[in-house]
Amino acid sequence: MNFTPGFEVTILFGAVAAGLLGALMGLGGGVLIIPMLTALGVDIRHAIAASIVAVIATSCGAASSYVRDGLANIRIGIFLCVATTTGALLGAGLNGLLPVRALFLIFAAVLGWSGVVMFRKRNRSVTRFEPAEGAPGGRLRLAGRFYDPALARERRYAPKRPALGFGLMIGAGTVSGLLGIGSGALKVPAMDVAMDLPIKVSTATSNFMIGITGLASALVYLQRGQVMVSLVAPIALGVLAGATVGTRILPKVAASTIRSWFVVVLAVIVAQMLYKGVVG
Amino acid sequence: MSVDGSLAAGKRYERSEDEQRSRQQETRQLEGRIATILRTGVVLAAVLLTMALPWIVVQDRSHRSHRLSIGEALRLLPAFDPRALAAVGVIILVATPILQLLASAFLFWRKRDRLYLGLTLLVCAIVAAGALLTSGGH
Repeated sequence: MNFTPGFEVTILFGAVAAGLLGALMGLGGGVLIIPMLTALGVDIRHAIAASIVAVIATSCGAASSYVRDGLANIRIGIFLCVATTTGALLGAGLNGLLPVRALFLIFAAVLGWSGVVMFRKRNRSVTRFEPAEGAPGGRLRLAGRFYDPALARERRYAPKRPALGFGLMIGAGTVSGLLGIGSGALKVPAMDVAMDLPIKVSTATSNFMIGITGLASALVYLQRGQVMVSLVAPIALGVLAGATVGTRILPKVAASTIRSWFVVVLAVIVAQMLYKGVVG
Repeated sequence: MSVDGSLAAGKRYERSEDEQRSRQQETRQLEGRIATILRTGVVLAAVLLTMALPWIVVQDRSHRSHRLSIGEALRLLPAFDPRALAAVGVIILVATPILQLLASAFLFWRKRDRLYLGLTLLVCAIVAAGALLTSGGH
């Protein structure tokens, strides 16, 4: 590895940008940090380990505001965390076994898929079926409500297909552990598309879950000695700073705006990761 | 579903509105506490990392090839090495979701929500199993 001077400063600023976009899109920011670090010549396995710690920082920072504002649904979060933590352990185990090029290709595939899903739904209206007052949300009691400043009123919601959501979350957790990302890129569509939750609830609940999912794989990476101090310090700090700002902005941004940004950012990264996976 | 509904309605009838309201308030309070735990952990870690960062930048420039893992850095703690300080910050960050889980378990316990208390403890067990399995492998 041959780093240019000011390496830490560069990644500090990159991490600020990643944290900002990450919070707005319901990502841990890892999705943006890993391409940045590998572009700077960092070993992808070290990048993944540093990223997962930064991802925990972002998601905990963001989740604290969302939990307080009642945007994150803790029941949905805990229910789906059973799936994501199981997957995370699977993924962290696989990380040590797969070749680096495979990691890049899986990264590209995962993000490409997320982008396609979000792109298809980018213009969907925010008004949709709302369950009746006091709807229990099935045996799991997953229904909830939140105040939507964009509509200037309280909205009720009841998730559909929790079993499908649970299954998808095992996959999301595996990817999170494998690639060191929060995999909000998969969690948000799983809740938004499969379970038909409002995107803001999906985003907030995703943040609640990402810290816990990241914890499962971070412990594995820490014990393997894969987390490097000089990478983690600037990245975690920068991401935190960016995420703090992003979280403040989120309640004021329209849902369709968030989707459009998401798609553009993903397209760029997918191209870069595909290149690395194919060319090496 | 209809049986569920009528059961819920019966329960609602038994419980006074005041009781329900105070319960909701308690839930809000406990959620607020989870938020506080998350924020405290993150702020504490951020302070440590901010203190350590300038030193890491300077030190790393002098010996670039020498990159420390968290475990190695923690061993430098008795010497007050700034990298050890950063390592402690990282450990606090990783510990924060553990507290988040424990606080959620407490929330569901207070709400007498056995299903979700069980699910929260199950998540704790999965996380612990992963940590134990890895350390067993080394």
